Amino acid sequence: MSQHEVQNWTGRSDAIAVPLLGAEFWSDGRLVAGVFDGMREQKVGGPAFRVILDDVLVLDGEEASVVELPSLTGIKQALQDLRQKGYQLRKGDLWSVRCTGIRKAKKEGFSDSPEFQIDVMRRAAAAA
Amino acid sequence: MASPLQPLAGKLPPAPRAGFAAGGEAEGGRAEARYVHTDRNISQVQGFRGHSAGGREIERQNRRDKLTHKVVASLNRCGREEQAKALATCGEWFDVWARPSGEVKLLPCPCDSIFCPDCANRRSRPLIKKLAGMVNKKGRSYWFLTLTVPNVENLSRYDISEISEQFAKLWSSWVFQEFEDENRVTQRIYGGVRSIECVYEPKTKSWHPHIHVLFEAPRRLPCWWLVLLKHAWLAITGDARYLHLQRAYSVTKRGKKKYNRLTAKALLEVVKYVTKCVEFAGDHLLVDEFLHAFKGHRRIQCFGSFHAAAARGEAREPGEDSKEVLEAESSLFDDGFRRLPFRAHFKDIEILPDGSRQLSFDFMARVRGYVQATDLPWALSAPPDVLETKRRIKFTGALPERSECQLSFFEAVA
Repeated sequence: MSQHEVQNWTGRSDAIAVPLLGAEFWSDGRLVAGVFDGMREQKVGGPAFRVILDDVLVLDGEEASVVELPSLTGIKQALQDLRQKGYQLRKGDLWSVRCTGIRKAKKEGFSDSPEFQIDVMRRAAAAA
Repeated sequence: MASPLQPLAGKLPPAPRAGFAAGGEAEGGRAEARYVHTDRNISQVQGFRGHSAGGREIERQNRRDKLTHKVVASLNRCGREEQAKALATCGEWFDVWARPSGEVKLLPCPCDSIFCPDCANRRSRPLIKKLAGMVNKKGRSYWFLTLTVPNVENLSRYDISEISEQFAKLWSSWVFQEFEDENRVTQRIYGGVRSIECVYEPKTKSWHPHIHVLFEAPRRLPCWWLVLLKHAWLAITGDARYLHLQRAYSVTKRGKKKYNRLTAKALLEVVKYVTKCVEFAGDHLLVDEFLHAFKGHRRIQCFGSFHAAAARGEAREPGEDSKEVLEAESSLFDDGFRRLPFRAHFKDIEILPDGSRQLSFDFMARVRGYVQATDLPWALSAPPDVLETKRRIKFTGALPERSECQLSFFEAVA
C-alpha cells in the first residue's frame, strides 16, 4: 500500500554530442530520413532537432545513426510552413528532410542557404 | 402441378460475402472475420509537408503586416482615420450585389492606399501584363536607369512635380531623341516607362526623390551615351550629378542573368508601385508629409513606344476607379443585380472543403430580409455613369470647300 515509487534519470554528455548537419553537408537532392527524437536549445543559433536515422550516415569517416539538424534558415522556414499547416513537433514522428536547392546569397559576405522540404508522417491514435 | 419437393442438389450453400470467413482459416474463421466491420485497429497516418519557400513567404507576410500596422497607427495619429481604417481592413469587406430571386454576388472593396502592398500589386498587374507584350523586340535592348536629385529636407508637392517636369525635359532633349553613334548614324531612344519614388534617409533626416526608368534603346547603345546623359541631366536640374545606368536583365532559375529576355518579374521592379516606407512608417508627421507631396501625382508614366500601355488606361494611381471594378459592376448591373447598402465581412463567408465559398446563414437571412422589405429599383433603368473623361468636340460651322493649301495645290497643277 505505502510503497514509494522511485524514478531515475541519467544524463550523458555523449548522448547530446551527436553530429550536426550544417549547411556544408547539404547539396541539392540530398535526403535524410528518420525518427524525430526531440530538440534542444543550443548555446548559439537557436534550437537543434535530433533525428534517429533510418540508414546510417558516414560523416568524416565515422558512422552516425543519430544526428541533429541545426536551425538553418531553410529548416526554420520549412518548419514555419509546417506549423502554418497545423503541424506541431512530437517525438516519434517520421521525418524526411530533403534539400531542394541552394539559394545564393544576395549580399556579399553572406553564405549560401540550403532550402528544404520536410515531409512528416505521424501515426495518429487509433480510433475508438 | 409443381413438385412440393426440392430438386435434387438444388439447395446451395450461401455465397461467402466479403469479409466473412470462407472456411479453413485460423481460429475457424474468427480471426479473419474479426476486422470486418470495425476500424478500431486500423492505424491512421497523418502527413504534413513544409517547404522553405512557404516559410519565407510567411515571414515576408508577417513583415508586411507589421509595417502596415505601423502605417495605420501613423495615419490615425495624423487625423486620417478613414484612410487608416480602409488600410487596416483592406480585403476584409465586400460589396453585396443581389437579385430579387435571392442570388447574391460579392465584389471586393480594396483600400487603394498608396501604402498597401496588396493594392499596389493589384494596380501594377495589368500594366505589367501589357508591358510584357511590348518588350523583347528584335534589334532592341532594354536599360534600367536611375535618375537622382539632391536630397531635400522637407518634401512638398513642388519637389515631385519638379522632378517629373525635369524628366519630361530630358525625354524631349536631343540625348533621348537624336544622337549619333560611332558610324554617324542617327539613333534615338524609342520609349519606356518611368516611376517616381521617394525614400527617407533617417541618418541625414532628408528625403531622396528619384526616378526609375526602363527604356527601349537600339541594340547597341554606345557607352559614351552615359556621359551625354549625365551632362544633359546636370544641365536640366542644375545640381544633380548622380545617375545609374545598367542593362535590364531577368534572372533564370539557376540564378544566371539573361539580358535579351525581360520577364514580368524584371518589369515588376519598375512598375511595382510599392512605397518604401520602412524608414518613416512610424513617424506620423513624415507619413502626412509624404501623402501631401504625392497627392494627385502620377507616379508611373509610359512614354514613347510604351505609351500605348498607358493610353488604354492600364496605368492607374491610387484613388482612381479601376477599369476591372467598373466593368464588373457594369456587367452585374446588366445581369439584373443591384448593390445593397451594406457590405459583407469575410467572416460572413464560409469556405467549403471543395474550395467554393458560401455566405453564412445569418448573413443570407439578412440579405433576403432586406430584399423582401425594400422595393429596390429592379426594373430596367439607365446604367451607372462610367467614370471616363470624354472630350466633347465642338463643331463651329461648315468647313471651307477649299483650304489655302488646296488652292495653291490646284494652282500649281494648273
